[in-house]
Amino acid sequence: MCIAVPARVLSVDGLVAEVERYGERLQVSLLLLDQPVAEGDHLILQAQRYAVEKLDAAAAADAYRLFDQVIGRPTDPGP
Amino acid sequence: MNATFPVLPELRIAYQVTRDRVTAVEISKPDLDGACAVLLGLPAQDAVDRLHPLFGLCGIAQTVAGLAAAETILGLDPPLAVQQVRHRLTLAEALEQTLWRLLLTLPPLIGKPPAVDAMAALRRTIAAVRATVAEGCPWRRLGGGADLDPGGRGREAAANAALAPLLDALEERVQLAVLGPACTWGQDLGDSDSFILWASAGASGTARLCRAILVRDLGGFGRSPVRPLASETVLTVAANRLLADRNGRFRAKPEDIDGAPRETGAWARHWQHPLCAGLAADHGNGVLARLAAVLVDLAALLAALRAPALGAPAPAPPSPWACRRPQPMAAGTVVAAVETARGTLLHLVGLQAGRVCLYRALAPTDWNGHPQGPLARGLLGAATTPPTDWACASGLLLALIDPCHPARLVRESAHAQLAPRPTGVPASMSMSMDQSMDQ
Repeated sequence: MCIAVPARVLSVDGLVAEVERYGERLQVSLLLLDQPVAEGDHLILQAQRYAVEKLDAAAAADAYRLFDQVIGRPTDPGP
Repeated sequence: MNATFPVLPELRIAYQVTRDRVTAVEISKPDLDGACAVLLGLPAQDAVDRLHPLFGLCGIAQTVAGLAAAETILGLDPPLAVQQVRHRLTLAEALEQTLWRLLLTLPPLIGKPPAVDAMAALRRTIAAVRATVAEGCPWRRLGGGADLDPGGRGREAAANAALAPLLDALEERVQLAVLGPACTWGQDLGDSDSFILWASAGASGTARLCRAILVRDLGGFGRSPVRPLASETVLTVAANRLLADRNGRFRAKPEDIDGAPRETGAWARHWQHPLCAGLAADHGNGVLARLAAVLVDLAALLAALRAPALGAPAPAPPSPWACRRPQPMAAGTVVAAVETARGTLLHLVGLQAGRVCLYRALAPTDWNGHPQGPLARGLLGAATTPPTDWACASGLLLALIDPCHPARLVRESAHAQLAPRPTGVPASMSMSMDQSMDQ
């Protein structure tokens, strides 16, 4: 299943952004996004190369909370 | 399964080469049970609401699977109009993912640039389709907002009228971007003869890709004896084994009743189509036939988006993209199956007093990443030196199997032991030539 960890924008240079997610830094294309992107925005990536969705601050905070919880949580014990 | 959840999961395909042939393949799949575990204890609606943020790229299919399972347990019956909205949104998502593969992933494998501008334009059209389909519909709500009366069939008819011109535009743009000017699915993709003519002279990037596969004699690369996953298996064998799968073994190596792996995805949906069967007869079910299956899938998706309302008589034969009814299992437990671009997705959901007590998912890559599944079997025995263009051929096979995660092919020393990865990826599997003498 495709996991959708958001990435935080560190900088923007034209149609390329440098982003960070859980310590990993990537350069991604903004060509597929119709919205303007700025430092501090949060993006969903596909193929680790293209930004495909921009999250608002609340949605990004919710997503990070969810993934933080996922990382620290024990897994399915079964019925 | 009990590993640390990998935040950035990756499919790792390690292979060994002896005398210029692949002699062993090991596939390490990420264990994503941790993502499902976060849903335990939540009220059903809250759990469903978290599926899209968790699994964003196929988030609609995941949400629809979770909704269908939970609604069946709760005895909620969403209006047909809402079911239609969910189905069309799932189809639109699958269409976008399929186009992504054709326009962005595959062209660089033959040295061509990805068709980013075409993909961006198509994404805008698909976004307009989605917005029209979903306008005013509480489709994410358990029960589909039946309590709010979303408008029933009248609303559906209005949406269909607004949708028709958008679907016309979408079909025209997809045809132009994928097939090229003056080409149509029926005329150019009806059988293998017309396909070869189109591939030989077509002006689109996809036609050039097919041409490159033929010129480089790679059409048969990636052939595999793995049989397609049958739709009747999904809600019988697979559903029961998923329910019994407390330790994750089935999810790590899903198999059919005969103990053999199965393939899911475009090839499994269309292997009997005259074009796919014809190409397979000439080249085997390698990358050329699989690419043709993706093109047939695209046409099937466009047709399914236009299909009449749910509840109307189903076409014969039924579309592989038709909805399936969820399958009640043990008390308070239901399995729902949803078709996605990459294959069949299963969600097993258990509710107790309205809260999630069990959540397991079986993703397409669980089937296709099996140690003796189509990816491993397709690589095993393959030549890795000229005249075979290994980088191109292996990349094509990987892209056409299309794992759910970023995937990496890694050549290991012939003397290395292909052993399970140490952390985060316990579903590690391997096979060698000794295990596949029947190939």
